[in-house]
Amino acid sequence: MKNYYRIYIIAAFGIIAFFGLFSVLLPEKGYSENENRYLEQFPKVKIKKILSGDFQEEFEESFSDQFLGRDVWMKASTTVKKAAGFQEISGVYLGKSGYYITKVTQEDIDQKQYLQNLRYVEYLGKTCGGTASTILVPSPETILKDKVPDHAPYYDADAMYDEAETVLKKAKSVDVRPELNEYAKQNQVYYYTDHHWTLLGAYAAYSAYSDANQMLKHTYSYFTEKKITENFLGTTYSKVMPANPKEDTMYAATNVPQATVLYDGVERNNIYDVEKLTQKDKYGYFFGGNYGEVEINMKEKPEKKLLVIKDSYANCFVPFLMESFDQITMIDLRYYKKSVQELLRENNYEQVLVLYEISNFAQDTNLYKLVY
Amino acid sequence: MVFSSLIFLCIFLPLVIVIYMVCPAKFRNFFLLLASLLFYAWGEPCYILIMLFSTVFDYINGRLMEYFENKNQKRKRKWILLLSIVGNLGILFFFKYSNLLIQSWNQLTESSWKSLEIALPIGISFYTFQTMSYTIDVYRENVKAQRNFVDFAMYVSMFPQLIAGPIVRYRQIEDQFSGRVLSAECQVKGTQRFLIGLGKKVILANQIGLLWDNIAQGDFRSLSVAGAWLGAFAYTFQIYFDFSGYSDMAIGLGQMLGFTLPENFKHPYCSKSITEFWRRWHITLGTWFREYLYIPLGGNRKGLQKQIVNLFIVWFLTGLWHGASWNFVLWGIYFFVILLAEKAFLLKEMERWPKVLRHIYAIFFIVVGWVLFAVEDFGKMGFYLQIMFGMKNPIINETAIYYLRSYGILLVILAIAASRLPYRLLQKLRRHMLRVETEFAVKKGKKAEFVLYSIYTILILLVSMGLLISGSYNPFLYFRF
Repeated sequence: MKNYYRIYIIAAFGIIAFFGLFSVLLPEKGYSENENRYLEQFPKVKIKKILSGDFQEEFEESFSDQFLGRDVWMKASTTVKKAAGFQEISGVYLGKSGYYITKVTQEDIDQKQYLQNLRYVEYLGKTCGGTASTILVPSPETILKDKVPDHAPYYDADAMYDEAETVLKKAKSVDVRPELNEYAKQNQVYYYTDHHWTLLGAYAAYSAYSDANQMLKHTYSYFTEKKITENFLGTTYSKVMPANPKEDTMYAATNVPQATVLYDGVERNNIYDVEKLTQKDKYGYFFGGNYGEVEINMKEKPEKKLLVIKDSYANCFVPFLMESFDQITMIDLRYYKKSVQELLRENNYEQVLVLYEISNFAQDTNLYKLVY
Repeated sequence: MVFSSLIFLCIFLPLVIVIYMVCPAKFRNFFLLLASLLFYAWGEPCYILIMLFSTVFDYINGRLMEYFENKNQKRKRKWILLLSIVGNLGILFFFKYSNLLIQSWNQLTESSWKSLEIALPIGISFYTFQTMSYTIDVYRENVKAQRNFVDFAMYVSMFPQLIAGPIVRYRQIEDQFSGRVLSAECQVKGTQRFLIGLGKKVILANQIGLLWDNIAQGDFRSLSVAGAWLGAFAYTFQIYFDFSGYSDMAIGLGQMLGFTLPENFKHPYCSKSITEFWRRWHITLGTWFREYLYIPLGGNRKGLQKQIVNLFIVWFLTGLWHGASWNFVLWGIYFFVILLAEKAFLLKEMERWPKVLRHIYAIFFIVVGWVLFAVEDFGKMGFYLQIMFGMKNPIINETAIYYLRSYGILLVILAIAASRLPYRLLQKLRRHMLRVETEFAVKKGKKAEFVLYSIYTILILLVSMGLLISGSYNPFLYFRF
């Protein structure tokens, strides 16, 4: 029996000491590809920080972030939770057919903020001088109702679209749901492991938008999709860290006009960033991620101009519109520091488009910038 | 530092155990004191001074009482005891209850005194009760005053029981200050007990706690009757597995270090009355209140009227001990009423009830009690209770079905784990083995049992580590205590 005891003690303490030791001793890791974030670094010893307890807190966070084999541990814990019947992990529903869908409940939506944001957009519509429209991209759940776990609570999207309909008169709301529903019957319009829509999903919205504004509309095949990766694992994957995810295939539209692009004033010739394909967040391929201002010039002396106020959903959508305009300017209000109203005065935009995923839109606190 | 953290598990614990083992026996108490101070200072780098003050204060009080005892100055001894009690309760009151007092005063008189900017020092309710048990017992001559300051300080600050109990009375542990034996068996049993506790906390309590958190943070208006009961049961399980998990970890750690700490929980949810529940729930707190409050007040020896008053005082304070908020007091008084009813007639009456009914009765009042405990705001609490009893919302809705689907398996596991079923099955298996097998086979069977149990506990360790690393929900419930 003594030997058994010895083995047990060595096993139990061996495991904890081994991981404790090597998590501290091995070189620190900076960025986690899998989790798509910077890992906490071990703090420097400072008496002041120790006395306030900040040092200890940071140390514990880094210890967890730098833990030996962190990814494997996380996947194992997800596997256990799945086996226990959990339907959601870290705010993401473990959906059907391999979908991981962000959980947004009625309580996550700030109705006041939503209404206020709609009013800001309507103000923009009144002051922009051109035709204004709004696309509120539905959350994946709205289109993929049968893919979330049965009975899973979700916010009431219909009510929100109705409200948009009432408030938005000048900046008319383009309802893209019917088109998306149509395409979703046969094809994948949202990624399995990312919160964004696929190229086809974006095309469905382009189609609805063109119809609403009586613009010339091309077919999907006209844009000539190109497979850019077969192993995209996006943001919802990073939150859940499942052991065997369904990897996403990502396409981009290639038959688009040549353009010079200014990213926050820096010129580059491409709307796509190939470098991002070597990284984890491959959705950044479209316009290299999020910039405050992206100016896309198809012609040297642009006349037909479009302004897009947007979140990241627009990044794979905008290429479809490049042929229809001479210049497209995309603005991400989270990072845009200049005056929107001044921009409107300086440019004679033919069209202005506000494009956000609807639950993002409801929670965004930057839309007041439209007024200034 | 808390037990259910990676830093404790993977750095502090192995380091302390290894050094403790190689440390010469006579320095072990000193080392344990240092380790405990580091353990406390990690989370409370400044408030450790309060604990140190408390320690020095009662050490001196003990010595003074001894001094006056030798000089036969009984009155002075009494004054020292009073000083100790006032000092300890004064510290506890100042740090824990002054803001409650200010807020209540403001509400009553519509004045606007500013709240003090003090945070509650972790574990203060536990260690002040421990040091008080010392001075009171010295006064009662149940124990001799401790002359060795290191031993005394080690008793107060001992990290296994420091922040969440069990409340170890000085008397219970005095003879363990020297001559502790560190056997391999103790170490193994201690480690296993610790891991079981870790699993209770990290795997069971934290996971079901998420359900309660979801419901408690959500909008009660969209809650159904089923959802409300689901939430109440979730909290019922969470607090039990969290608290008893902590106690298991404490007792296991004590065992690793050669101590025998008192048991704190004995299958409380198997009780068939509230009286029985309180004999099985947080036993060391109940014992403390009986020993140092109820009995000194006169207990049941001074007539029925006095007994009722005494019980009321005890349960009022038991409630208040759990946190500086009136809902805890309500929770205490709630049990006072039920216990009184049981004493008066219910227990006798219930003898005729079938077992199942008695069990349902106890669980019902326990679960409703936890709602009073968990929902601090009286308005919200009332609303929640109304939903539970079907006075407001629909019987069941989509969300409740979703929660049931999500947590159904876990709830079944929790119910089994809270019952005596696993223990009984094991007993049955053992008896079966004894009856049919030869002595040789019994030995073999014991080994097999040990191996299986070892694998089981190591698995618990691995799963717990995974959950801790993935940053799953991991609250500390006793920051109010």
